[in-house]
Amino acid sequence: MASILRFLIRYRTTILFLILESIAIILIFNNSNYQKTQFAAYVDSVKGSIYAKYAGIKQYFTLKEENKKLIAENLELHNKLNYYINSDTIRSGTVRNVVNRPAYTYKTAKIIRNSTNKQQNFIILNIGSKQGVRSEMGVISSDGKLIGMIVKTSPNYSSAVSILNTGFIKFSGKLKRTGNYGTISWNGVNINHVQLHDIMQQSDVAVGDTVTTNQHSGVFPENILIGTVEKINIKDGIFYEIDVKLIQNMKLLQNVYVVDIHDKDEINTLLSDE
Amino acid sequence: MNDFVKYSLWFICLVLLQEFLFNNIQFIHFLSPYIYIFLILILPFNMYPAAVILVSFVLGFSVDVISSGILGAHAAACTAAAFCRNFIIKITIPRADYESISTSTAMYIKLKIFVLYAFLFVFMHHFILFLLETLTIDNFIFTFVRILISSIISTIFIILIKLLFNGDMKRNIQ
Repeated sequence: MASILRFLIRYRTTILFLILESIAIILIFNNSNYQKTQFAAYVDSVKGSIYAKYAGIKQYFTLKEENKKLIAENLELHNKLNYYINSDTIRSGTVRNVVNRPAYTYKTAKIIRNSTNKQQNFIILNIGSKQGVRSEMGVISSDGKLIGMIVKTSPNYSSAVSILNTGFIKFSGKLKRTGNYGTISWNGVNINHVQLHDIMQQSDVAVGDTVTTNQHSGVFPENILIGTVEKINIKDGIFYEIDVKLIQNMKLLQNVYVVDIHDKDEINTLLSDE
Repeated sequence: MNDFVKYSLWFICLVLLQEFLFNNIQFIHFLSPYIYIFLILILPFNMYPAAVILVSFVLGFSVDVISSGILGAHAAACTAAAFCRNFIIKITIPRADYESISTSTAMYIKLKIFVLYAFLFVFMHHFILFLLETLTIDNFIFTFVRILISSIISTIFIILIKLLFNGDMKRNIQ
């Protein structure tokens, strides 16, 4: 007994180090549990309110740029609307799914913090669970390009993991021209490029092809733009690794939409029953 | 001023400064300076190693909680770096400096010595932090370059903080 005690006292520094280091490592691998706690939500909401003030000041300096974007978006919407009004085939109905409800709706949000310098980049938005944001909703830019996915919400704020992350979340994407789909991840090197995997080496891919979201993700509507194929790398094995140049500049983001896909849970239950 | 109060103030200020100022600095997309470890650098040389490790763990954990990254990454990096602190002190700082006065901390040592001590410590911390953050050893050369450049930038900021405050501290003591 005494010798054990002597051992513990002698190596107390090393033992304490090993205990604390283990706690930290366990925390890293149980990260998702922590993110659901009340305390995490509280810390986020305090931080959110501080960043919201800061973002408010910052926005004044980019108003001109944002206005231009909004005008362009408005113009595009008007053109589309014109097309639908003037085409005979769709005159009688609106674009809805069979049960006559929209398949998804958008919520507007402002970015109050956005990082691009980490390997796991997060975006904090100024709407949260009170406004109906839930985790696993998609985030797209105001001109319709993929940005990320909500992972955590507090009453008035939410945090989304950006497409620029090397660990947690992989997005699904497809080649618009051929319809082949694969997974999109980031290798952490260049913030303007992501990688598209799982495309068979025999399949038809060309530099310049558009990459969009596919209909199976359950997070995004179909055909949300991601980027264009820039380089096709041939790897060992049966798949290509395709470098995709992002259309969205991830550094210049302010106004975004959160996509709420309706009936997602219902569809997922059906899928899991299979 | 009481040592406990003094270091607690440093603790709070450095954590807040890290989150609300330095976490928002993005020079080049993959670089991020971490200056809060300045606290571990300036803890008294004669403090119990176990106490240094405990303080470092709490410091890292606080930064984890307040920033939206991976919980535990800063805590792990700080704890490991604190474990090596005594070794780094022994190889970089002359014995006469760290054994002279009982209250002596790295705050009062000469800049020339401090630079090497700070850099080795910061590098140790960043090495573990960035590896844990990346969670992979693919692209190791790229990660290593990130670690090296970020360490240099963090060290520069840490030296600036030391230069800014050690004049004041000396006056307080005399």
